[in-house]
Amino acid sequence: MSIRVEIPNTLSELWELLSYEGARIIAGGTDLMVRIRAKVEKPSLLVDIVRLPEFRLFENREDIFSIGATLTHAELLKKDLPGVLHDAISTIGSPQIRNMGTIGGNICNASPAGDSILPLYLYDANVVLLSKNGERRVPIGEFIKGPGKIDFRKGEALLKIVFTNKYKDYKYIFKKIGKRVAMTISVVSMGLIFKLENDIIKDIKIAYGAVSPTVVRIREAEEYLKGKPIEDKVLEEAKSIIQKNISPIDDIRATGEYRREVAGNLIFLLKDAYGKL
Amino acid sequence: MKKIRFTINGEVRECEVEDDERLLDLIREDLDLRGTKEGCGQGECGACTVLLDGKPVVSCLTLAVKVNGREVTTIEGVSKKGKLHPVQEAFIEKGAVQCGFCTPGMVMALVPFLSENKDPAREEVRKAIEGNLCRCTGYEKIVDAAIYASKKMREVER
Ligand SMILES: Cc1cc2nc3c(=O)[nH]c(=O)nc-3n(C[C@H](O)[C@H](O)[C@H](O)COP(=O)(O)OP(=O)(O)OC[C@H]3O[C@@H](n4cnc5c(N)ncnc54)[C@H](O)[C@@H]3O)c2cc1C
Ligand code: FES
Ligand code: FES
Repeated sequence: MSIRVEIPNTLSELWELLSYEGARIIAGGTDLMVRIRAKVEKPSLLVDIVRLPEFRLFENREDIFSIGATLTHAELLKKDLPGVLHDAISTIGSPQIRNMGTIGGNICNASPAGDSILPLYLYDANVVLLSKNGERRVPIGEFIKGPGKIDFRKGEALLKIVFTNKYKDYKYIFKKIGKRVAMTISVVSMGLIFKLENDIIKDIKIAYGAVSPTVVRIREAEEYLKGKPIEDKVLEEAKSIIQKNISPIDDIRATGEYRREVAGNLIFLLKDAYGKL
Repeated sequence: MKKIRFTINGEVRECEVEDDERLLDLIREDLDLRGTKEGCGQGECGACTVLLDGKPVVSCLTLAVKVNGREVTTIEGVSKKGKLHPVQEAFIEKGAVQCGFCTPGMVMALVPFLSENKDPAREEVRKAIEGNLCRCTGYEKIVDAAIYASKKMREVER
């Protein structure tokens, strides 16, 4: 097999290495090493970017977040992140995987079950791609095109993720359903942020993971729920809207039918959250 | 081939490694430190856990070239001057070892966890070892051992 591996120390070295045929970025390696060993991928050159300081910056300035792509999940859990993003990241893998895996790797892997990706859809985050020609900014929902498919051009690297937390006074729910508690890839995951006013839903954003080719926002259910109280009748209707807007498939972890049922039922968690307010 | 220089169990070493060699193979084959085990080879069982700059990682998914200039600790490096680490003692005393295959990885996950969490709850211990599979013990005795080790470590500090 023998793959060449290089660890650039400067951006100009990075651009040169990325220009080679068959070059591939590696960060934590928790996805790529598994895929290479399974012979699903055969890059001829791995370019390890974890030593480049440009990719490791973290900023939260007046609620504008900027998260460097090679920050690991464990590093991010020590930062002051919005609750829904913190909770989602805390469910990834194990301490070992969180010490190695990066948020940029999670996004570029573009799994519909990618746990850090889901909250980023709630905040309409943008990803910033860097190449020797400069930066390109793309909404996350456009960057991720399908399972494992991203809008990525030769010579680019994911530099950072940026979003504004306009929803600081919102409550949140993140729920991941897997086959077991620890080390589990989602069978279904749901994240939402919402705001109540006089017992009425003033605003809500809902995203689901693992039930469609990519993480999805269910905007029709968001619109429906706005202005409504949290009641069984309302949630029943929201459930059917959600089920209409997803396209879960059968795989080794669960059947599509099961996923659809669970996904719909998860919206009832709003009742628990409401009860506790 | 790449030349790397790193610290392993407190000792500075220089080695030649294949570009795509795994840290696990560097440790087991090149350095002949056989305490670190290979179970799944896919990051799922934790048997190959070692510390990289003090943090637990799975050596089966880590490229050896990545440790250049950094510090690696394996199970062989946790005992000091022939004296077992309190976590190792606790595993023996609480009967947390059956076949022993998972034990080095369990210890390597627990050592950094317990040095940061002096008085952990059982639930927190379970979360610290969520990346480590054990096919024999049912985990209860491992959690017992971790709680007992935390007590020992607090006493040593006093
Ligand atoms: C045992 C185990 C459990 C796991 N559990 C979970 C889980 O619960 N939830 C979850 O979401 N994921 C999980 N994962 C998947 C994985 O750990 C995460 O997706 C992780 O965040 C990937 O990051 P990485 O840095 O290791 O990526 P890498 O493996 O280094 O890279 C992944 C892909 O992204 C590309 N890439 C990485 N960084 C960049 C960049 N900056 N610019 C351009 N391209 C880039 C690489 O070329 C590659 O294609 C698990 C993996 C394992 C092995
Ligand atoms: S051998 Fe590395 S995690 Fe199983
Ligand atoms: S003691 Fe046998 S695997 Fe844990």
